[in-house]
Amino acid sequence: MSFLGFGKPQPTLAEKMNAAEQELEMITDMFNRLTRSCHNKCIPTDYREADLNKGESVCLDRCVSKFFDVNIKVSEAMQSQSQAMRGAQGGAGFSA
Amino acid sequence: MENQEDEIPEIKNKSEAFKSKKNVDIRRPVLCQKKKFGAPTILQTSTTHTSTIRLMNFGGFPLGGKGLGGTGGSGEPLTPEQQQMQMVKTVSVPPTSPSDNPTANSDGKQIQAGMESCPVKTVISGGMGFGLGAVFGLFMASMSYDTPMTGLPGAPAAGLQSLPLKEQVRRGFKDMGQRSYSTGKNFALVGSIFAGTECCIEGFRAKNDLYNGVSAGCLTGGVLAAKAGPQAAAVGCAGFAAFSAAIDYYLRHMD
Repeated sequence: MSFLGFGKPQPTLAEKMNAAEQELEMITDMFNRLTRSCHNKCIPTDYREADLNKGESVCLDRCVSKFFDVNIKVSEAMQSQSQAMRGAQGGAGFSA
Repeated sequence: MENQEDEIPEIKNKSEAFKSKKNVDIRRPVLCQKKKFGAPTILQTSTTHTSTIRLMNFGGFPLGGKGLGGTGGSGEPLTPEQQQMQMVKTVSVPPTSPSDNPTANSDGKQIQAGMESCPVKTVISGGMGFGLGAVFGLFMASMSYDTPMTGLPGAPAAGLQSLPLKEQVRRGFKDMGQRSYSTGKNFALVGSIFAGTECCIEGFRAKNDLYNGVSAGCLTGGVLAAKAGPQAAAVGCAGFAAFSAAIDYYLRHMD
C-alpha cells in the first residue's frame, strides 16, 4: 500500500473487520429490542393456544413496521444534527 | 497482517461472524426460525412487505459518526447508499421464504397462514354453515310428515293419497330437499357474514378478545333483519350479539 504522498488513507483490513463486527452487534441489539418490545406489546399472557391468531399477527406486523419507521426517522434526525455540528465545528476551525 | 487485496471479506452468514466473537448475545433471527412468533407467517400475510424491506434498508442508520466506526477511519461520513451497501454486505439476513428452508414444515405454515386470512375464513364458515343448515333443515322438514300431505302444488284435487306410493314418496323427498336447501342457504349466509365481519374487525383492531365476536354478531343480526325495519334490526343486533358473547365466553373459559 503506497500512498504516493496524496490521497485519502484507505481503511486497513483490521479496521474494516472491526467496523463489520460493530455493525453486527448493533443490528443484533436492535433485533433483540424489537423482539422484546413487540412481544410485550402484542401478545397477551394468557396463552390459550400455541399459534398466533389473526389479531396478534396483525399487531406484530404493525409493531415491526413502526419500530423501523421510528428507527429510520430518529437516525435521519441524528445524522442531520451531527452534520450541522460538524459544519459548525468546521467553520469554527477555519476561522480560529 | 494485511492481504494483497484490500476488500472487506464478505461475511456470508451470521455463523461465520459469530465464531469470531464469542460474547455476542444473539438469538437466531426470527426470520430463520422454524417456529415461534411465526414471523415468516407474518411476513406472508402482511399486506405490504414493509417489514422485510425495512430490515434490508437501514439507510438512516447513523454510521457516519466517527465513534461508530462506520467509515473505518477515512474520516468522511458515508452517504446513505454506501451505508446501505455496508449493511447488506456485512449482515446478509435474507428473509427465508418457505422454499428456502426445506427442513421446516413450510407447506403447513403456508396453509395455516392462508387459513388466517379473512376471505378464506368467510368461505369456510359459509360452507360449514351450509352443511349444518342443510342437515338441520332436513331434520326439521322430515318431522312435518306425521300428518297426510295436502295442498302441494300439482296434486290432484282429491288429495295426495290417490297417487301411488312411489309418487307420494318422491314428492315428499323433493319438498324435504327444497326446505333443507333453503335452510342451508340461510345458515350459510349467517355464518359467512359473521365470520367475515369478525375477521375484519379483528384485523382492524389487532386484538383478540370478546368484543370482536359481539360486534360481528350485532352487525350480522342487524343486516339479516334490516328488511323488517329499524326496530327489528336493533332486536336482531342485540340478540345475535348476546348469543355470540355467550358462545365466546364459554369457549374461552372452558377450563
